[in-house]
Amino acid sequence: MRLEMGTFPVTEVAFGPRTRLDGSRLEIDRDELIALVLENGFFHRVRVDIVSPGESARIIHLLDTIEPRIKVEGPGGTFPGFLDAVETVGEGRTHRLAGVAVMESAELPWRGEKGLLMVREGIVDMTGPGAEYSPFWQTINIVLTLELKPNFSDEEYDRTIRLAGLKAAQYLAQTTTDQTAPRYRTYDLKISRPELPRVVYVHQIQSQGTFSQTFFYGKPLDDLIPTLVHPNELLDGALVSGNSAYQSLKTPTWLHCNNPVIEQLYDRHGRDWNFIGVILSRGHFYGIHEKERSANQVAKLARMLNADGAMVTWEGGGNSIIEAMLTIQALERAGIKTTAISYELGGVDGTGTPLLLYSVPEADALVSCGTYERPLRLPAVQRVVGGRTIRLDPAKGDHRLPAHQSLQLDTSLQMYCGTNQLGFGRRRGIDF
Amino acid sequence: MVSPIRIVHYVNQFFGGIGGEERADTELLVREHPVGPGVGIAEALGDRGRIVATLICGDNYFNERLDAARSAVLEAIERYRPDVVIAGPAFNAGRYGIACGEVCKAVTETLRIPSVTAMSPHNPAVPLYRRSTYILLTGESAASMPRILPALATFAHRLAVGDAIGPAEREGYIPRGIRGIILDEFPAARRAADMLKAKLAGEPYQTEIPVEVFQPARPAAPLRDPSTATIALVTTSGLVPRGNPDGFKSMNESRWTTYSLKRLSALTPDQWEPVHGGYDTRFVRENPNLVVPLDVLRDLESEGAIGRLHADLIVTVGVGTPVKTCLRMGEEIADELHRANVSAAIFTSN
Repeated sequence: MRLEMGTFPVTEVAFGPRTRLDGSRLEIDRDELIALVLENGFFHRVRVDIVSPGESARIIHLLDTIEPRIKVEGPGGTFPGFLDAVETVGEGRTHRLAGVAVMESAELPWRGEKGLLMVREGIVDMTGPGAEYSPFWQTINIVLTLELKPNFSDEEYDRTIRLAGLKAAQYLAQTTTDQTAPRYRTYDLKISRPELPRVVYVHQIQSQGTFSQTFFYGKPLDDLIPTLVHPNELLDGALVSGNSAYQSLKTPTWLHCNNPVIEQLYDRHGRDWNFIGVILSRGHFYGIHEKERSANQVAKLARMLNADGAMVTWEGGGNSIIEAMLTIQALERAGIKTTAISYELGGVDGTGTPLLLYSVPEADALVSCGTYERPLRLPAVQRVVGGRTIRLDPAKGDHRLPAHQSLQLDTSLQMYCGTNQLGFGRRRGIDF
Repeated sequence: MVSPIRIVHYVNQFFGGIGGEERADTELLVREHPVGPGVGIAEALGDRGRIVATLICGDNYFNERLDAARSAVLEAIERYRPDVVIAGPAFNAGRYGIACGEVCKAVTETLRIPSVTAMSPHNPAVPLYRRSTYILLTGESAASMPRILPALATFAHRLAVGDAIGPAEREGYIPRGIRGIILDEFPAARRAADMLKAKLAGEPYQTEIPVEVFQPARPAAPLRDPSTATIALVTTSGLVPRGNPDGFKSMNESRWTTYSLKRLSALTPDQWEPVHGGYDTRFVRENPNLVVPLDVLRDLESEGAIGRLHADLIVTVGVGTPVKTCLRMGEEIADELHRANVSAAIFTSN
């Protein structure tokens, strides 16, 4: 499978009389975009805001974030199963707008604390101490603030918000259809140096129900048994996020399409190793039997692929580390050398050990991506996009704070992607 | 220009030039100039600072009369008002290492003066004092002296002027048991790829997160006679009185508490609710007895199958809490149950 990716870097976004890409300047017809998003009848009102790097700005009530992509040649379309037919993607030519992100912001109706299956607060600060928690302090963000009509179910809101975001992203990417990209790159797993070690990526996602879900070709992965996918499928949006239970640990769709591990594996393909594919698995199974089955099936697939090495990442926190660790153990026992990326704990002051909730002795090559346990003080900002007030912990009831003010967070669990484990960030734990 | 810093330096009888093992009983001696390794430290410092006093004790004296020796040393140090205290280097000498560690710990904890020592990672004093002071890494013997003295001088100067000290592996000290959060030069995915490349090639690599072997908890022996036993209900399911009066967090909680079950025959959704953020709580919202089986326990109590139910429910929220905190809470809960003469507990998660 060979995919040609045309990249259109965007350095400026503005509203204009019609939606178009002029060089690296993206102009958006705001009314047309709003009309497109309003089509489904679930929203009272839609606001569109442009938030740029370096602004004293805070974006709140964040749900999914999407990079504008569009299939311009070859089978299927981007985000298959949602916007296009369920056809296998990852071939032909795709265009992307780089440096921009479409963000969905909405506050779901307060139905009381609901445990795992609810939306929790997600924050992006563009500057200051809260900035470098997500990739989105460096992108120009096109934020859709969606005001929901009342009396729909969580499932209905969840689905329509997702479709609105994906549609908006594809709409913006359409500006590139007839243009030639400044940059093209071909993604192909073809092996030209068979003597190099064979490396597989084990991508463990979270999918447990509404608001804690990941979609593959439009269907949730709640019952996923490990399966083999081509990395190009992910570049075309085969994985879409519906995960808003813990914003700091989630993988938004933008990151599924720009997975830093896949980038590393592709960048060194044919030089340091041969990248041979992606094994998709899920964590957070409720019983040890299912956790063991998942780990063993990953290792089995890796053996069938004759893998020599593996990189493992997992989405979410808590007990999903058990599947991840059992997977590392099963891979290592099969003779497959494995590294993984993990967040760590350690307490508020960093003196608590062990640093992981669970581990195996075989996990001897772990890379840290920080912790959510440290308190964080966000300074006051000049501009808030997405709403006026913020609810930091739903367990404490519908208690709200003004969002533009300085916010004292007990943990960084609200910081969008703050402890996401795909490894885009530089934040890490280290011994002092 | 910052004024030169004042240093007090601690050495043993050997490095203090008093004598060998035969003089290991020497009590505290004070010299108001650099001695032994202190000469090298002073040289390296140049005009950045000076050693205002060298304190010398025999290793046996310090180790065998610890309290007296520590007080004598502290008193002397206080007199010289140093900005920083240096002890050693002790290399792999055990008694000397203990003395250096103890001096540094005491000045830092009691006098709030920063301190630094240096020894081999194998010195038996390392596990005892690494959390209390900075221990710079040396080789096993005094052969590494020429390298370590300038390092000690510079490190001490930085402590005295309040420089931020970076991570252990970059600064050359032994980790103090504190995990810090920093921004690395490279993103995590790149570091993981580099690590994989090294691992595949059989080259050395170093994990960023050390793992510990988890000890499985052994269940207690079964009750001989449940009909005379007092049974407690303990839950990490996050079930609390409606409204969450104690403000439990839905994740990463570090507190537990008790709620009275007196006069209750079952738990009702109008009075109890789950605030746990790690499972689908809808069923528990309808029937709290699913995670805290009070209804069944009351039946067993009235049938005489169990002696009686403990009056209090013990509650925390078990999700995303570090293991160390869980162990602490477990011990506190066990103490509480022991005090209340509870014979067994039914532990429910979710």
